[in-house]
Amino acid sequence: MFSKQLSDVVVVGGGVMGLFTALNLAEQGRSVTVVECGRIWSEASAVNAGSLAAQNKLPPLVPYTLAAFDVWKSLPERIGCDVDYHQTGGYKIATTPEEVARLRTSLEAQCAAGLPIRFMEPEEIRSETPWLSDKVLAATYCELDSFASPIRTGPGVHKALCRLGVTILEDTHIRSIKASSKMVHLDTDAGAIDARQLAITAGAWSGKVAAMLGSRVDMSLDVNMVSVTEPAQFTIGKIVTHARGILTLKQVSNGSCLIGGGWQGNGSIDDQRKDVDPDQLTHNFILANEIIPGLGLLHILRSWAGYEGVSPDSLPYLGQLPGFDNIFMAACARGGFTLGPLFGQLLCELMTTGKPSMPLEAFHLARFDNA
Amino acid sequence: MIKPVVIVGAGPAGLACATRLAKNGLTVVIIDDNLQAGGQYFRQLPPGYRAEPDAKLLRETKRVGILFPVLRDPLVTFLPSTTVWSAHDPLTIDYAGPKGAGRIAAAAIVVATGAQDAPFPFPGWTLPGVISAGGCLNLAKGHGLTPSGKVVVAGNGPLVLVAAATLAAAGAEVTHVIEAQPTWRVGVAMMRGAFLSPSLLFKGAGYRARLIAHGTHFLTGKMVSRAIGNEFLEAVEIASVGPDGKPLAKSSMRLKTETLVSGYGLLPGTEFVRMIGCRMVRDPLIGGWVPERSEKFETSLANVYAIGDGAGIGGVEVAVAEGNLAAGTIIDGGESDAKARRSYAKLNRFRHILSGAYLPKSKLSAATDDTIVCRCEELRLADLKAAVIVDDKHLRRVKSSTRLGMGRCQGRNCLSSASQLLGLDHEDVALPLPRMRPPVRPLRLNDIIKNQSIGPARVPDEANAFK
Amino acid sequence: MRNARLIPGIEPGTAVSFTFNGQIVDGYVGEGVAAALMRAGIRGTRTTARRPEPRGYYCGMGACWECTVEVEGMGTVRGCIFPVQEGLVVRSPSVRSEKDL
Repeated sequence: MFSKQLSDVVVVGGGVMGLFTALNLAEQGRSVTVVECGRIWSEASAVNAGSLAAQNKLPPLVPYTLAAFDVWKSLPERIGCDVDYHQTGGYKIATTPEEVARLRTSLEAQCAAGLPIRFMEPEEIRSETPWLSDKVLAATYCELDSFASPIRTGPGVHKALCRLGVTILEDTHIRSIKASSKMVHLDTDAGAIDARQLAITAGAWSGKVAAMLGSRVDMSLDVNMVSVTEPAQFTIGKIVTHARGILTLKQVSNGSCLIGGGWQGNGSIDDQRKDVDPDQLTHNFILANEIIPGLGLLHILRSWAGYEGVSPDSLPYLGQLPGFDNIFMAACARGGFTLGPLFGQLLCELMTTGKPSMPLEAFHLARFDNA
Repeated sequence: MIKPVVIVGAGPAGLACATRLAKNGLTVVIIDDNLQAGGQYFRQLPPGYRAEPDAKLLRETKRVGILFPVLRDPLVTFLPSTTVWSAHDPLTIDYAGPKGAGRIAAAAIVVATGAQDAPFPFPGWTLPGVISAGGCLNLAKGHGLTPSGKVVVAGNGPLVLVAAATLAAAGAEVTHVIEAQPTWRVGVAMMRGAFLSPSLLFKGAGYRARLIAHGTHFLTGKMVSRAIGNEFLEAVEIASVGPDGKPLAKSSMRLKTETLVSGYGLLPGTEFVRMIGCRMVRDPLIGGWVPERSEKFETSLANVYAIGDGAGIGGVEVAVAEGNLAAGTIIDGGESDAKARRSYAKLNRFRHILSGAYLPKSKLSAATDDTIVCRCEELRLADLKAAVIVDDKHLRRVKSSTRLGMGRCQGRNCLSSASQLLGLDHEDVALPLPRMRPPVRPLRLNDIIKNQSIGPARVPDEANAFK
Repeated sequence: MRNARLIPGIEPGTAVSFTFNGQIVDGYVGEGVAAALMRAGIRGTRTTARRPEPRGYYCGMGACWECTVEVEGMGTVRGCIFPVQEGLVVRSPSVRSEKDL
């Protein structure tokens, strides 16, 4: 419990967006307080499947994904911690003629946006990836598809923030936010926080935080399920994604396979249930088994569900909160784990110099106002 | 269509419950992970094995003839080698196994999942040749085997004597029994409990006499401090139990042995009740965290009952009594059970007294910083302590930064000991265990997808294509 | 333990043989694979990934997975539970290191 906390910046929400924003600001010499209503790095950031896929990004996000990969590669040295980053390459597969057509369209758009991708015909798939079943009619391959470990990244960033003197307040609930042009004032159940600037990085809860300021930022909730198998005897050297995005598979260093694809569990923003839906999980497994039959013999060890915020056009929110000079948001990246380390940097640039190193117009918070 | 009563677990509690339910005309489905019914106490030899009438296998056969026939009752469906892996809602369970998968909407669920050995880490405990007390009894009852060579039995609790006596009866060379509690404490409890359950008292004395005749050395007030060996166990170091529950270094002595049976308590198997959301309460006398139950064994979820060791350590007599009484509750609200209730109350008091006798003043602990606490992920205590960046009253963060509990055992062999060793095991701390999610036991993907009764697929929306 | 042996008066099932890591092992139909390995004096039945260290039978009730072995055509099984049959091809579970990926 404290009576008053004063910082340059208060960051609300301690997930990947918030912690990397705090990291960048602290590295720039700003004093930062992170406020989190639960534990930091415990929601979507901590429980996602670790995909850093390039192929599954909407074309506008490709340049940002490429830039994010550079941030990921330099992360171990920067925070002094191995995040288990592997750029293995990945296949995006199609099992119907319609999906094959979809692959060709996205291939064109992503190539144009600068992504190295090639199309694979069935014979190539049979010879190069025999572990993919005959149901796979075609695939696109991108050598940049990667993954990293949320389990390693979170604690690593946490420790780096501690070394940089960032104040982290957990289990701290915000009662109200008042803003003037010079100051933002937060009234929390652990005391008052004053800061010159506020960054809202609360994932699926960001809309609620904005509402405390009378602002409306539309977002819906996904309840994504992931499951993990025991270590497998075989090796799947590259990540697998799907033309319709409904399956992801990767094998991590200890041999376990992570199965995802956005199949929905149950829960709402208010009830915090995050329940696995056994039916939808089973459908996820049926699909996984159809594409990679070798998975069938593996024991499933655990499944879980996480909350992810989604904007109406599935593109991120990254920018100033309309009507406020000193309040900003980074949320709903739909690929937050991939883009978080970069978005933390871009948000920091926006907040400190007003000149982010990449354009942010497509992520404007007010872009749906006249829709 | 009649909704059956689903019983999870076919050990003494589950079988007793099924027997009474079927006798009263109720439809029952009883499901067990094992190939055969019986649980731990009534573990059977493999099919195709035979025991001569004078076989040196110490086990109860009397009640097998009373409890097992229910499995052939026309009202009863027995699903062996099958796991209840998730619940659609608390009364609609999903099961899967090599023989098939499906979903059952139940009129009531009776959770009789039994107990497991409490993990008790000490240096060297992962060496081949170190087995748990349950592991020793399962070797005998489930495979008809006994270890060759010297055996040392060490631990705390009634099971130590049972394991040692079983070995001695089978002709094993039990050189030492090392009990942590001083004799007088157990003796006093026995006397207090004598009038409550004379037959149990007699049993305990019988085990001790058998071992003494066998030539076993009894040492009390001592515990294991280390298991020694390279590829397998070669010796055990024991020491006096210190005032803090840890081995007193200067009192240690070394015993050459090929097998160490380590039995430092039992834990109720609460994974299923936790997964479906039963409220849990702390009861150190019966194993720590157990489901909250009414007098009639109902949990905080309507029509979900919990009985036997899975709801609180009590042994076979308590399990059978609870199974019988829970069935009575389901049948007629327990109206006709006044007498059975009274004798259960006595049993319940005795088990609390006996547990109290084995509850040491300071919780026993032999783990050093270098001891492996999470066997599956090979995490030492030092690794767990290093992960504690902020003082949490919960294992969630340690788990997500070290992979504690993420191996095949799903935390069964590490979460409770990690909780104790990291200081999360006292009254002020709410349940520190991470949430239990499906599958409640590891299941092959192939077996899970056999379920024909699942609802339609809600295929994730298209925008997901761009994650 | 050095070895395990049948308790006097126990008549086992049919005698068969199977292989473990290429070695021929005698077993009885129905006993757990881990039990047959114990009778054959094989103590460590798998090696851990990080240290590496030998592990073997521990709890005997399918909870700890220390006795995990691979059965050809089936995947991983718990040795204490999986019954011996004639001709099983059993191996220690293969272990990955970070280098393999």
